[in-house]
Amino acid sequence: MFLGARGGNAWLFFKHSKVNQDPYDPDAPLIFGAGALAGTGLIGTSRMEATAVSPAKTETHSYGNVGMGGSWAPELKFASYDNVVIKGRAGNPVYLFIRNDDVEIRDASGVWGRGTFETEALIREELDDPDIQVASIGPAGENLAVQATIEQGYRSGTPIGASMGAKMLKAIAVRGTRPVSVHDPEAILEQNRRLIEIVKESKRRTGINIARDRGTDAYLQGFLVGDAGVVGNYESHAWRDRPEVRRAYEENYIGEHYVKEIGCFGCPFPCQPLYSIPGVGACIWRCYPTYWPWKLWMTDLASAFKATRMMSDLGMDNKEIATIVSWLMHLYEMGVVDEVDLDGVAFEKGNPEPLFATIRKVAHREGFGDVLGGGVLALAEKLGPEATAYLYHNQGMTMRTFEFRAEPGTALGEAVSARGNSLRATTYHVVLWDKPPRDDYSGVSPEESEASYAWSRKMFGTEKAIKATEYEGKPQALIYEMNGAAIADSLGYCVSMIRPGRVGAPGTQFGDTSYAFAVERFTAATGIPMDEAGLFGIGERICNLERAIVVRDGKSRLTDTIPDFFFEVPIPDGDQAGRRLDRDKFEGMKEEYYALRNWDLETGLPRRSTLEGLGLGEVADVLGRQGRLGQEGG
Amino acid sequence: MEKVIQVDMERCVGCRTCEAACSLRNTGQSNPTRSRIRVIRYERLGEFHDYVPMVCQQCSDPLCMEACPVNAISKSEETGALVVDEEACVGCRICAMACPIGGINIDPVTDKAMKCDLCGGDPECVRHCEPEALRYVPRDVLDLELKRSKSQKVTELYALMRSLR
Repeated sequence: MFLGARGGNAWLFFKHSKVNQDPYDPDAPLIFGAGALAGTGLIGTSRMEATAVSPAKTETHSYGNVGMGGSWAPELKFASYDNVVIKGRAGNPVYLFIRNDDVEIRDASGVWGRGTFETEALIREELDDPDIQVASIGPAGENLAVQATIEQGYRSGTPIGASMGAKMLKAIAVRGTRPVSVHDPEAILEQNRRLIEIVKESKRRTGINIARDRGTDAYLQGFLVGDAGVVGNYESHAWRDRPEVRRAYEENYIGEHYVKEIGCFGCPFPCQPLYSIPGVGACIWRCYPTYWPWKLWMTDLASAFKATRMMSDLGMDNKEIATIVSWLMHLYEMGVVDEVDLDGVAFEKGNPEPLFATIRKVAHREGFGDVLGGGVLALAEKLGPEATAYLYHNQGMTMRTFEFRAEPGTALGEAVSARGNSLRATTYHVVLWDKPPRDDYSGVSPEESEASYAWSRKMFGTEKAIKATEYEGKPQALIYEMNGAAIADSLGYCVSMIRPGRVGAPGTQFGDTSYAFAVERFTAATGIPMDEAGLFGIGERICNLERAIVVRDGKSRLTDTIPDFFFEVPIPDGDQAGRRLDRDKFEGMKEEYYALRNWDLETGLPRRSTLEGLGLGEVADVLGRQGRLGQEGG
Repeated sequence: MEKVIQVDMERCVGCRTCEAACSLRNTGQSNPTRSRIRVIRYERLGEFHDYVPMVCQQCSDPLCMEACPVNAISKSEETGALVVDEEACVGCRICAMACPIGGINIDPVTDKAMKCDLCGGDPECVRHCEPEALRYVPRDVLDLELKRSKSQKVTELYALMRSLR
């Protein structure tokens, strides 16, 4: 069993994809999946997953996936589908319209070239139904920029939009009017009522409650005072602590333009804060823009908002673009590049103009944006070895904004994750920083810390497992997180719903009962008997399947790493100054991780016995034929 | 005092949890198409997102009841809700035509009139509406609440005018 979205998609991807397939091969599969529980009426289960050969992983071209909330997944379920596999390539721009049993490939010449916002509106207009849910690409995806995303009601994520563009597929519009049958409707209602009570009573501002208070916008303040953020191209951590920066931030705060929250289907705890700025327009302040402005030394949040909105409309990943711009700003300041290299654009730190220019140029593939649209490595190569030395990437995708040097568990996750660049493969959600609380977002009381440590000792054998800067116990904590995320992404579960919360402690949300809760909810909806071990077994199976796919395409212990920079250059300033990753300890963590996964320690390849034990014999056969199975024993 | 479902569209986040809850309670399946309450969207990405939950307001002078040729609609003495006698209903849709706010429809499965019956006095949609766009309040409170919320706008407007002066 693979459970719907991420797991189901991974299986379909395995069945339909070829070894090291070109992402633009017409035959390459593009897969959409609805969470197994989407549309059941259970709160917080509306996520979808899209899976394709990642255009953005320009070094490897393997498995890429992205999860999104919203209302698209439930709508697909109401039309009576779980997963959709798209292969081939249209001769002219088309979009797919699914309405119950009617599946139609329609002419998209009227929307080709338009932004995702207008595309949704025009498709709803053309089909005369405002309830149609649209997942689409913008010009960036049409023009095969590897940073292009699939967008759906402001939600997007890891870039795989070019996979749609390559198929000349502008959008998938869905509408369903049928029921989703459930096992025990009263039990679902009771679970929902209970959850609403828990959230109402819980005072702690984490997970759902942060969302409930001020939406993802609350993270803005969290990151301002927290340690997770990075300033510039990993240049500083202390910049934002300066009073003048804080003041500038406060002066530029866009709070007065806040309109309201927008919810995903079936979730009354909306976390998508809608802002509307005169002269700019409306958009969601997504979680990622809460920490990329620092990378660009920007305090001008209105410009950050404008850029976010542009990227959402043009269909491109704000993480990828912002990180690239921060790299170019770093190079520009050092004199490694100048205006001549970059079409006359001066990449001055803090100035939003180079960001706007990069967005436009990449989306429309103009000038340096054309090179960049083919992958950041292509631009690095053009700019020369010195520029390349300052580019930190994983398989061609820029690094997620984590301070890996202070978070070994997250570094391990980034190194071994199948997708790469994945929040779904980090210990981020279960770490505690051993520092005094600075406000009620990041602060943890001594009682809460102790409760968290007790939980960590019980779960992972050591309290160090949830201490951010420690190495010990991290492989265990990472596997717990990765398997849990695989379950959540497959059920369509929102992260805020299933995780124990940022602090990973009992009492924060559902504490260590969160998976027990998930089990009850799963059984209420499906009638399938389940327990926590069973659920985690499915998570383990999905993670092994994804590993097998990327191993098939070449990943191994050698490439299970992150850039040397994080091992070599210490953090220059801030609370974690002086820290860098320790190579030996890092390799030790990897071996322990492989051992816990029951993979070959020497190579990191899955063993036949492990895959067969998880019911993945067919997968083992494929790896065996490729000579990509690990040695047994050890 | 009879209670009614008070809708505050400004608080609605468009999540349609009410539709899921209503259909689960009344049909045993999750199916917004058969929900007695529907959230009507007025949205345009990048511009605006307005959502209006539409549900029977249990009129004191109900046109649906008046229009029904077979007297299938009656007022519950217990809750004050207007309820449909499915045995009597012939599915002629005249009630749906008569209702000024679209509060009564024809169930696509049973082909009988379908409307909110206040879940017998404990509406499931209201229990699920955490943003409190839906509230179940006595009719007299309802009036005062509305006046209160609207008055806030008046005071804000007044303050704005004063500041501009």
